[in-house]
Amino acid sequence: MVKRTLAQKLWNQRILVAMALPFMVWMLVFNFAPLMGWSMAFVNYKPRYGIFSSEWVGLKYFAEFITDNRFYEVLRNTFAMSGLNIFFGTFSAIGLAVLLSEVRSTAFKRTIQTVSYLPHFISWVVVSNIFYTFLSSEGLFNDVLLRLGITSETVSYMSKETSFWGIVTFSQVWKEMGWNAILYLAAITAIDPQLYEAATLDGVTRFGKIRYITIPCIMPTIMMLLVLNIGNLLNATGFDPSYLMGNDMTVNYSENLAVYAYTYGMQMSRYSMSTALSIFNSMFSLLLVWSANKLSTRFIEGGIL
Amino acid sequence: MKRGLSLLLALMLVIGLALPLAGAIAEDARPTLTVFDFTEELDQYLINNATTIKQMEDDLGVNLEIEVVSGMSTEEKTSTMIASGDYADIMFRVDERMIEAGALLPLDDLLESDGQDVLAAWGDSINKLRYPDDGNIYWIGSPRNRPEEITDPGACLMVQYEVLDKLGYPTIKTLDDVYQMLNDYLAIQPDLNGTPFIPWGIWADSWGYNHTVNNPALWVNGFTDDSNAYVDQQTYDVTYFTATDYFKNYVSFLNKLYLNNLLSENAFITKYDEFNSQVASGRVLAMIYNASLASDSEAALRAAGMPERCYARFPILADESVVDRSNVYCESYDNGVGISTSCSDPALAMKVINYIASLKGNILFNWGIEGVHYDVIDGKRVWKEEVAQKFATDPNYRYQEGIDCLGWWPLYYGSMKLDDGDYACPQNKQAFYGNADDWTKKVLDAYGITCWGDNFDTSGTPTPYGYGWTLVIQAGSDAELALTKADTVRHTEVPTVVMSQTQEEFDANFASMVDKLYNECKINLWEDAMKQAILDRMEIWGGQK
Repeated sequence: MVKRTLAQKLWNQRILVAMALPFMVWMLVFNFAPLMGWSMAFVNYKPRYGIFSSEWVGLKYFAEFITDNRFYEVLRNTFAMSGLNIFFGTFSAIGLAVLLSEVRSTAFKRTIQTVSYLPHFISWVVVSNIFYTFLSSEGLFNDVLLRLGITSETVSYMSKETSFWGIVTFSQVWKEMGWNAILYLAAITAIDPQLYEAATLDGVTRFGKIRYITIPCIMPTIMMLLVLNIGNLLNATGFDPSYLMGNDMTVNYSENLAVYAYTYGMQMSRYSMSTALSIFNSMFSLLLVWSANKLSTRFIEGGIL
Repeated sequence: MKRGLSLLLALMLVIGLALPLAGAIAEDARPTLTVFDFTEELDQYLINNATTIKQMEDDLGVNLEIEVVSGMSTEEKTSTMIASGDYADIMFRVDERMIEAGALLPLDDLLESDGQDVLAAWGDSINKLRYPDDGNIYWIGSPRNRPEEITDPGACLMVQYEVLDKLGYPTIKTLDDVYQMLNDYLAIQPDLNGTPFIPWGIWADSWGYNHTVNNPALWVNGFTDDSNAYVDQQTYDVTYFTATDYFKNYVSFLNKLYLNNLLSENAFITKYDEFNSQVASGRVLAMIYNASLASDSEAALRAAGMPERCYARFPILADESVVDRSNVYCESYDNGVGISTSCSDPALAMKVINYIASLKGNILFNWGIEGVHYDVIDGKRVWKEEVAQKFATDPNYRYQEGIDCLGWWPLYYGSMKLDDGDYACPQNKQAFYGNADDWTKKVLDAYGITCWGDNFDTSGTPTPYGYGWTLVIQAGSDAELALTKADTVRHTEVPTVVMSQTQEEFDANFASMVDKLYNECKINLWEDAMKQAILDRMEIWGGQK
């Protein structure tokens, strides 16, 4: 009975179904079929034998990283760097957006906006070299501190493991602040000007308008981006900054999950281990998105996703 | 008007498409082989248009499309290639990972049919190329089966001419001499035109660690290149070299340099290109390094008018009682050129390899083209003066011409004699002094030698298993994983040990590193696997030597 109604329903909407069909096929082929590759994690994958003829090892590769002390260090680094990045990245972008929206001169506003998002287009290879050069013991940063008498001897900041998180967060904020601000700026532009006019009539100051109109109005945008970012917590810093800015002396603080998978998986041609790690990564991210979404219902009605 | 414009555009489009097509058709008369060349030399990509490669293509009637992959990206490229199964026809410098991935053709039959010159050059040594698991030959390396004179050593202590000159050409034998020398020189000359010197050169990022930190400790203790392994020559028990007292002693030398401001803490994060530019700027006074890796920077120094900042080469020892074996040759091979399973024409590919290994190929890629790069005078090949000149001053010249830069290719590379009785390589004893610049001659004269090789005794005992670094551990095994982990640990811990402030701290840091190596990395798994690999290899080689 139910089946017939479903079939009828489908028939009634056949045009819509036909329109959706190509995309469902696309999903199946490009998003679901590749999941078959996950079975690689349970065999000792050798390309010459293929997935199904390689030796079955069960959970060996999962056990390998779960029992590896280094893995927890790596996890700590990943969370720390991602957390710092999300926190400072979000607030700096909101700050910039709000400040920019308060600027009256359009020319000035446009210039600042363009200049601030330009670093987004610079490759991490270049950014890491810039930071290496600036922060080396013969670099500009040391030179300035020495000449101002703030320090008495040069410090090689890039080889201090304890300063790595700070440097990498700073570089990410510098690189992405302008770019991230674009979204918030767009959200601010969409705020109904009548609200501001009404506030002006009520004698609200500029700071008051920011506090009571701008911020609350862009809150849904902020929350949505936060939830998405939290889901991406394991990948937020990505491979490039950690790999390129890190070095042998800071590796205990710079190695994140992506670099770990690269060193112990890809570089050693241990594809099974890489796959096992990425399964862990996907599962964990899913859990994070789900919990972040649940959490966000406390702040916004209905949740995000 | 509008129509005319669109017609014109359409016409241009057609012509634009047709032109390259026409070119392709004209060249297609020759078969094309794709080639991957993995190398550590960053500038080798220039060989694509090299004169000698063109000559080989013309002789064989073949087109080679060479893609050069250099530096760190080689590891990544290998893995990607294996994962995608997308191989070039011919691949230079491949190793066991390619074999395990089933990417390479066994060459035995091809050698019989199209590889006569290869077989002639190798003789019995070809058995040393057999893969332990199945006894097949998968790649051909650069043969080392002839007596070789060393003009320029590989691993050695390198000291700037200027330093030796200012100090009146002292005898430098031990690490203590080096320490004394650096202090004496810096007392006379504290900086280079206002820029501070880098008294002791190290670059310990990625593969530079082995060349500038690990291997120097092997040389000063009188070992041959067993890389990460300390091998007991009676029992063939293997110990991870970093955990031995031999290594500890060498690190204490680095510690002494560090505490006396002769070693910068930047050294441990210096990258290859950065280090090359440091050397090329004349700031690095001395180092233990592989001389061939510094030759491009030396050419740059000469080009910049600083020939006095180039380097003299010496053996270096921990103390007088040790016998130097740094340049003793132990015949063994770890990689070479192979033909992939996806090769369109394996016989043709073997002909290319055969050409390189032939007398003709040896002369072409070592000397160049007669009349263009070298002349035959009194039956001996001699480089033209401008060629020798360019070699000494232009770092890119060798790659642009494709001469004397293909050390991994299956040809003789070094100062040995070919079948025609003349030297394989222009860098031979006879030619070295003649081609040297005035500063080099001055320093050589001061030490009473005609080439740097004279400083080295190559007649020492080789190991029965060749070089330890050429031994193969199964890819993806627990032993290999242990080694990768251990390498990460020593990368972070050794700098900490070197930068210890007191003797107690030094001992404690070293002990904690050794503890990590055995308890966290399980390096003992690798030690056992290495011992087994040594025994297996000696069995395959039939206890030769």
